[in-house]
Amino acid sequence: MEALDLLGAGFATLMDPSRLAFMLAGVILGLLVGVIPGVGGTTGVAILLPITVFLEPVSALVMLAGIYWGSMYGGLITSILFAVPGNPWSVAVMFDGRPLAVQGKAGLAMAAGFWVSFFGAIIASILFTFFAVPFASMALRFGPPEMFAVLMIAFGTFIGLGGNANKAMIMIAVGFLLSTVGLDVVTGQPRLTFGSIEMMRGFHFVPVTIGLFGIGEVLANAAERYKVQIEEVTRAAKLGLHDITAGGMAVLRNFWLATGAALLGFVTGILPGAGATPASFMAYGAAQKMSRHPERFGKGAIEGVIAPEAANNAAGTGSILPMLVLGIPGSPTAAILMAGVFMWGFIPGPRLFTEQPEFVWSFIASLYLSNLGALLICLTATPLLALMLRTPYAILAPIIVVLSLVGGYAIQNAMMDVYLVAIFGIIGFILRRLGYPLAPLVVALVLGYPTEEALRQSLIMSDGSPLIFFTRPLSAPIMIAALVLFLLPAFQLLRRRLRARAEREAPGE
Amino acid sequence: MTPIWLRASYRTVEIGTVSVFLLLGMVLFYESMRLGPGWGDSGPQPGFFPFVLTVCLVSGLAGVIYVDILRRPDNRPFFEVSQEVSDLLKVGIPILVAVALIRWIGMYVTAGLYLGFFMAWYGKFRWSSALAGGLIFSGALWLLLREGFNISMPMSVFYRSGTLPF
Repeated sequence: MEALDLLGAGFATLMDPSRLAFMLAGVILGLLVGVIPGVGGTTGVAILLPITVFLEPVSALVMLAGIYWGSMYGGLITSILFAVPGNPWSVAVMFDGRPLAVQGKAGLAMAAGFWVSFFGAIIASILFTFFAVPFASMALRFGPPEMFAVLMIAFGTFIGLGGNANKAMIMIAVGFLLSTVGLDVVTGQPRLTFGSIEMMRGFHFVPVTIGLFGIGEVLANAAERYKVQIEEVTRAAKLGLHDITAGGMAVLRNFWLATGAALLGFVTGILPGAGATPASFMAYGAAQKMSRHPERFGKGAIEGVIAPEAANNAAGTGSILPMLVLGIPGSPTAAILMAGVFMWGFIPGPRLFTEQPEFVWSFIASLYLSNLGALLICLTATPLLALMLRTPYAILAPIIVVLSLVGGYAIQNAMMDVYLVAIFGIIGFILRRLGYPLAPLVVALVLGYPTEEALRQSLIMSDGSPLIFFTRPLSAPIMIAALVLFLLPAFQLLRRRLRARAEREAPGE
Repeated sequence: MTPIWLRASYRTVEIGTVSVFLLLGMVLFYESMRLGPGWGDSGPQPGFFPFVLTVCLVSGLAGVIYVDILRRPDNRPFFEVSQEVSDLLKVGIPILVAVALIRWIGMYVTAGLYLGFFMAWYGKFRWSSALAGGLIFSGALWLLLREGFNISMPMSVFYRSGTLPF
């Protein structure tokens, strides 16, 4: 098996003490970030990205990815103990995790969650290992029209599977708009700069992301602080040996549910634009529908913990695949990791697999090891992690803010970026409150340049005819799928209208 | 009489946001017209993509105006209680002050001052703990960024005049 040989080489590259240390440091940071309410994994990765510029690429990637994996485990703890999800993808696990905690089974819920997170992540890592090369060789045959079609899938997902389609559309347009500021990619003409040199450099997406997520979250939490009461925590956060075995058994009893949820999560994660959050909700919904006791859901069913956790960890892993193979991130966190890959001097895409096999395969090897590390730390040190929650807000908030400002500055050594962090923090707070999804904005800002390039090159190839997307054998099915995603909200609206009309007319007949 | 910030509803804020986006859309449209929205000698002109964006933005805005402002407006107050506003300002204003200070006193001093101030003022810590917190934070940042990773940070005016090392 070629994939196994490559994976072995990846493990060999990773087995360097300093690389392993950075990987573990990432996992621990991620766990902390996941536990602290108000700092999600996305924020954690964004804030620490600038620091990794000064590291060796393999260490940098495994550390940042470790933060992502760690935050997936950490978010579980706060969701179950306090009903305060540290990450958007930890919301679904709260529905049943919280009732279990109220019944005094917090330890069991957490242990089952940790085990199944590990299980989901490992299934996804195995799929990742074997899918990566075929995926990359298929992607090598992609021309601009195919690239554009896949990009449209990413944005179609935000519109079709997100909440408010109109608001997602606006956010995508605004993200693209920000990415257009600066020099035109083809002709070199300045666009939307209004004669300012400062604007000519364009908007770097790191300060924008740190502002929207980091400062935006701090402000949003500040306004809602009066609602949240964190109770006595350390008592509830004990994980006994009994809980650990019982949690493991619960996962084994629901082996097929966990496997199914992990597969669903992986596929959703690969879909560019979807990521871990919708995957966790979908798995929760599916588990409830398929359960023999759907009425137990929401009242402390262990299946309600197992399904979303397996799915979100698998989706997180899956979302890295299109980022590495196509240069199209599956989630905002993957988008930030992609910016890192650029900064460390590589170009994400199918050629990465042939030109930098060490880099790619040591990352894939780190998937296995980071998750193992995260599981072991979680099972042994949960009370310590929960202690983090007792850190007073008056200390935590300034630390997050300062790290955000540091991260914003370090990326390009520009004071302008520090102001951008603050400005986008305020914008993020308002948009978040009005229910605008922030992820499409970030992903559009990152993908603005490749999207425009793919669109213009395709149209040049076809001499201006948009039919090119539908006549090429590879791009046609992808483009049609993207169109369906874009039109999904309209279909749903139409169906509701028709049903409402049918109901109104029925009594008269 | 309720203060004005408690009377603003979600709908009011939504109208404000949509107006800003509309303004952005107008700027974008103007710019795409200036750059040429159509077909040039060698393919789409630079203004083509902004023009497509204008269409996307305006169609999304039309949807929001129709659904969220006209058909199903959310008339709940944007801030439920005045404590929300005061909490927000108590956290937000120090952030803005800190951002403004960085230019003058550098990242490291600002970080310590901000943390110390916030601990003492918002967290009601004793001034000695706040002072210690600020010093430790500044020191830790210095060790991590300056000594550890050698990342350059904004320095104070005293650094530039050569009187202080940070």
